[in-house]
Amino acid sequence: MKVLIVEDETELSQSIAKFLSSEAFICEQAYTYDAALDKICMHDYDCILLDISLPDGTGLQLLEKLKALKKNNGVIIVSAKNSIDDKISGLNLGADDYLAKPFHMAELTARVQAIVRRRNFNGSNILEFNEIRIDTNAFTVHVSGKAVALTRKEYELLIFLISNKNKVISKNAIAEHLTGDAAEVMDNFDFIYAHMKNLKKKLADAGSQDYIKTVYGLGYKFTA
Amino acid sequence: MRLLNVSLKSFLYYSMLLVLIGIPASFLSIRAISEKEIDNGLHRQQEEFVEHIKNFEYLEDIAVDLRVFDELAYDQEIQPADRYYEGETFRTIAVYDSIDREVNPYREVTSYFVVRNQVYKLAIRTSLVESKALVIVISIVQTILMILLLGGFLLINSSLSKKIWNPFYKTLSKLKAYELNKKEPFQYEDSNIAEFDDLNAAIRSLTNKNMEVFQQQKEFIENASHELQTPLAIFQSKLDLLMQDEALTEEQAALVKDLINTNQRLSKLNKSLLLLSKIENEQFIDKEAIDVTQLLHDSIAHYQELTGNGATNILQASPYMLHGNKTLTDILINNLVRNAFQHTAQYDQIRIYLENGILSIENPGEPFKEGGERIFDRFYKESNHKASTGLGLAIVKKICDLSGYTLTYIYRDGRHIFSVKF
Repeated sequence: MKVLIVEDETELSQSIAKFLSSEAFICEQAYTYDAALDKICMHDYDCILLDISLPDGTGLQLLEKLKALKKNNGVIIVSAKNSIDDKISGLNLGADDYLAKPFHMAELTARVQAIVRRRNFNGSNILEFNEIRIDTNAFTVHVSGKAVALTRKEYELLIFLISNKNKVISKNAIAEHLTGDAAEVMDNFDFIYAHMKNLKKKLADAGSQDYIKTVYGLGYKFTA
Repeated sequence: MRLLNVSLKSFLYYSMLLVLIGIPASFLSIRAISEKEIDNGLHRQQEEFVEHIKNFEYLEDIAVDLRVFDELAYDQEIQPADRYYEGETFRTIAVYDSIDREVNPYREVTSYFVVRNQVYKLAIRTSLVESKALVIVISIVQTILMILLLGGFLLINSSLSKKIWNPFYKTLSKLKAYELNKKEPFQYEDSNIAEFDDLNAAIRSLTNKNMEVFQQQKEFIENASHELQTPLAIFQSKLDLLMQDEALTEEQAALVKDLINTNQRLSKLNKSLLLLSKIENEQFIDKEAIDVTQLLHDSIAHYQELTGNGATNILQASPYMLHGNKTLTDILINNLVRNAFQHTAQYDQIRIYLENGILSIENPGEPFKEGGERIFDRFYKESNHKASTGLGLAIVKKICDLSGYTLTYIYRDGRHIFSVKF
């Protein structure tokens, strides 16, 4: 899967590229509006990460070009502004998602994968990891064909973990993912332990292996 | 003391002084002048009389005539004298008036003349009653004129001052009502008086400058927060990469974890500051009908889900619709609900009421050491919560101030109670 990163901050662009590349993504980078436009015209991408403010143009202008070119790619706007107006005009211009800086890489990966899933499978969203099979359209989880009843938070947690498989995810990233947009997250991570414990137990009860590993005090890793 | 009264007071004192000195002075001077006139008249009369008598010096029995004359004339006395004295003597005397039955003042001139070798003493009198009345009348007229003059002067001065200072008072009342954050320049009317127009222009340029500085400062916070987002994002991304390093030792992992937490705190602080300055810069102005009860339901469900608490009796609300900004109301409710969940471990003891447009959120807890007076101040933290930015309640306060809601906090029966009157 090909991802184009349109971001003028080279350091950030490279971090994103490096992080995503270790997944199944092929990343290309564009630091300017012109470079991005060239790449968009010449190649097709599954997902484009778009910074709103670029030195020689805006991400919103690029969105308009994409629309004019009738490209069928997902777009995530990545902006430092976190302004509602930008968000609304971006989404109106066909962007799929909006992510405010600063963000956790795990969050970005999860969102990119969600978009790619939606694009590639034409609405039938299946996420699989060994014996675990998730239908993100029907919100169902099966372990070896057996349905597992999860709460909404446990379900979101499982998708987040699988989207970032083989990656260490910090508790902060999980907390922020689960609490949503709130400017201040709950200050203790007790609720993550509780949700994680329940999720592990439910998966184990359904006959799944224990894929959720604790990495020192840092966070969790979903790995076979 | 008001400016008008200061100038009027001086005028008043001066007027009173003038009246007090002026009335006796004019009375005395008029009396002196009239006395002099009378003396002159007496002098002439005396001279004419002596001249006249001299014409009859040829009469043998003039001495007898003079005695008869002395007897007959009411206001003249001619007495033979032993010696002749040069000159005239004026004096004021009191004479009993048998008709008026009172003692009246008279002016008398005394001189000596010689007829047929006999020295006579001549005294001519004239009544001062008339001239006294005249002096009094003149004095009264003068006094009345003076009082009228001064009174009129005071009145005109006071009304004129009021008129003259009117633009000044207008400017003053406008200045009192002026608010820096309203983004409106200072308005004034031309007064046609150079000084006041100068004053108004100076005030306008001062307020404009202040407004500019105020605006710049507000924008600075917003811009600074914006600019900080990108380096924070880079830092976060590098940490996320570092975290993936398989070769990390446990000690290094602990360091990375601390860095992640610190960066998280920075990001949260920055986001809150940005939100606060956005609210201050009035970027949330669109209004719509909001179902407050629904917002409360959602918010409580969110935090219950996070905390794994399922108490169903937390919210007691009657349906309430509010006309306001959705984003701000959402933040307001979320911050208050989160605050309750954050500061108690007894989640089922949280109580949220919504009745008649008054929202109260209660949670059990220890009283604040400082009594909770500074609880809405920015960066004020009572607890040692690491994730608390100290801005959550400041944001709530700012939203309430901007939207015209009344926010109160009390501590009662071991419970913190926050109330918002929409």
